[in-house]
Amino acid sequence: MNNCVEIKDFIKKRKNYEVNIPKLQIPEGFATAFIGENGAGKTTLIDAIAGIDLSYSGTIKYFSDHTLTDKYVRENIGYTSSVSYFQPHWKMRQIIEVCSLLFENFDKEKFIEICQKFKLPDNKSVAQLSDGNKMRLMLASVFARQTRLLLMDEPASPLDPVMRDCLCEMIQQYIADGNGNKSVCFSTHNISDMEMVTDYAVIISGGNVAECGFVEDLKEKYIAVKGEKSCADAAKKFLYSFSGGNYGFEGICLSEDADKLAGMDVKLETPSLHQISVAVLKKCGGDLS
Amino acid sequence: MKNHTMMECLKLISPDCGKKIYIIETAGLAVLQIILLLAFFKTGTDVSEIQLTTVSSLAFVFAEIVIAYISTGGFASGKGSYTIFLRTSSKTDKILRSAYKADEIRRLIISFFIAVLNFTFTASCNSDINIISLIYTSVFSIFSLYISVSWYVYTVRRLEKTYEITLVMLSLPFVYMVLFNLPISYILIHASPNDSGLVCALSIVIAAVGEKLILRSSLKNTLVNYYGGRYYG
Repeated sequence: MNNCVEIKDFIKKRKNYEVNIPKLQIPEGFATAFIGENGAGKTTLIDAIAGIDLSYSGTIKYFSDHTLTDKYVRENIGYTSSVSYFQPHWKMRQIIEVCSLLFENFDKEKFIEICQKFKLPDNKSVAQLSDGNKMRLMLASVFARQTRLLLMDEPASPLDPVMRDCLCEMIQQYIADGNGNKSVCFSTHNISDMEMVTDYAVIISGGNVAECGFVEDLKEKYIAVKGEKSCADAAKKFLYSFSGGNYGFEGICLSEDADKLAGMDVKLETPSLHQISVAVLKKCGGDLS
Repeated sequence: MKNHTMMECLKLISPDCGKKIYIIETAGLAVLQIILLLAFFKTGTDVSEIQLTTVSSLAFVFAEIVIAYISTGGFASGKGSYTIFLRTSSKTDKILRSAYKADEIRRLIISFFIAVLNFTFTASCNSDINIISLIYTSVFSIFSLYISVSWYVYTVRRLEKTYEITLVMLSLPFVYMVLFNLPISYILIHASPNDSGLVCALSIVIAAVGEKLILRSSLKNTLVNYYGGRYYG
C-alpha cells in the first residue's frame, strides 16, 4: 500500500507543549481523521504537512518520495484552515482572481459550480459571510482544484448538519474519483458526524500518536461493553473507559481482554469510532472516570 | 503570469499595499520629523550637534518602529490566516520574488531622487555647503540603497526557516538610522535656521516622503518574502 504522507522523527516544540511523532504513515486513497483533544497537536501536524509551518525537526515525505520543495507537492495539496484565510474585503470575484493566480490547477468553472451548490452569495464580501459560509468558500476553493491530497483543519465544526453530510459526500466522491490516488486528511471533534467518511484514524493525545489504524481494524481491536451496575466494579479494571450510572455502565476494552469479562452480566458490542477515540483519549489522559 | 503584471500581483497578494496606509505613514513621519526639526532650532545653540544627531536618530528609530507596526497591522499580522493561504501555493514565492526584483529598480530611482532633493534643499538652507557635502549626501544615500538591498537579500536567505519577521522589522529602522537618517540629520543641523526655516522644514518633509517610499518598499518586500513562505514558524 502506498502512503500519501510519511512522517519520521517529527518534533515540533512550542512554549508549553511538544508534538513528537517518531513515525506516522498515512495511507493513500483513503480519508484519514486526526482526532484529539484541544491542544493535542492536530493543527500543528496538519500545518506541518501542508507546509505552512516548517519550523520542526524530522522529515515529511509526500506521495512516496516527494518533499515539499517539489512544486508538484504544493500543486497537489489543497488546504483549508479552521479560520477563513481569505481577505475580509474580498468577494467571489477576487477569490477567483487570486486562486487563479496562485494555483495552476484551479478550475474557475468548477469553483462557481460548487459555490452555487453551496448557495454562497457572490455579491457579499468574506467579512459579511457567516462562519459556515466562510468554510464553504474555502472548501469550494480547494475542491475546485485538481489535487491528490486535501488537508482540512476542522472542516465540519462551523457547518450545519446538512452541510456536514454534503461534505462527507464530497470527500467520498473526491476519493472515488482518484481511483486510489486521492487522499483526504482532516481533523475533527465531530467524530460521529465524520465517522461515515473516515477510513483511517489517527488519535493524538498530548502531542503523541496514541492510536492509529484503519477504522475497521480499530473496531476489531476494541470492544464496547455494557453491563449491569452489579458487575461494574469487577469489569472496570479491564476497561479503557468507563461511565456508570444508576442503572448500569458502559465502557471500552481491548478485544483480547473480552475473555476476562466472561461470567459477568455484560453485553459486548462493536464500538463506534467516537467511543474508541474517547476511550483512548481518556486512557492517555489517565481519566477513567 | 499571463494576465497580471507584477504590481498587479502585489496588489492582489499583499494586503498592505493600500494608498491610505501609505499616506498615513508618510504624513505621520513627516510630522514627527518636522517636530524634531523645530526642536533642533529651539535647542541647537545649547546642545552639541552629536547629541542632537543621536537624539534625532533615536527618535527616527522609534518613529519607524511605530510606523512599521501600524503599517503592517501589528507585528503579529504576518502570522494571520491570510499568510497561511499564500503559503499553500507553489507560485507565491516565484511571483513575489519577481515583484521584489522589479521593485529594486524603483527603489534605485527613488533613492537617487532623494539624494538630489536632499542636496538641493540642504544647499538652499545653508549657503556654506560645499562639494564635499554634496558628494557625502548623494553617495551616502545611494550607498544606503545598495547596502539595504544587499541586506534584504542576505536577510531573506539567512533568516529562512530561522527567524521571525518581527526581527526583520525591528532591524529595519536601525539600518535606516545608520545609513540614511544619521547623515541627513547631521547635515541638516549644519543648516542655518536663519536662512530659511520653511525651506529646511520642507526638505525634511520631502526627505521623509522619499524615505518612506524606500522604507515602505522595503517593508513590503519583507512582507512579500514572509507571505511567500520565506519565513516559517
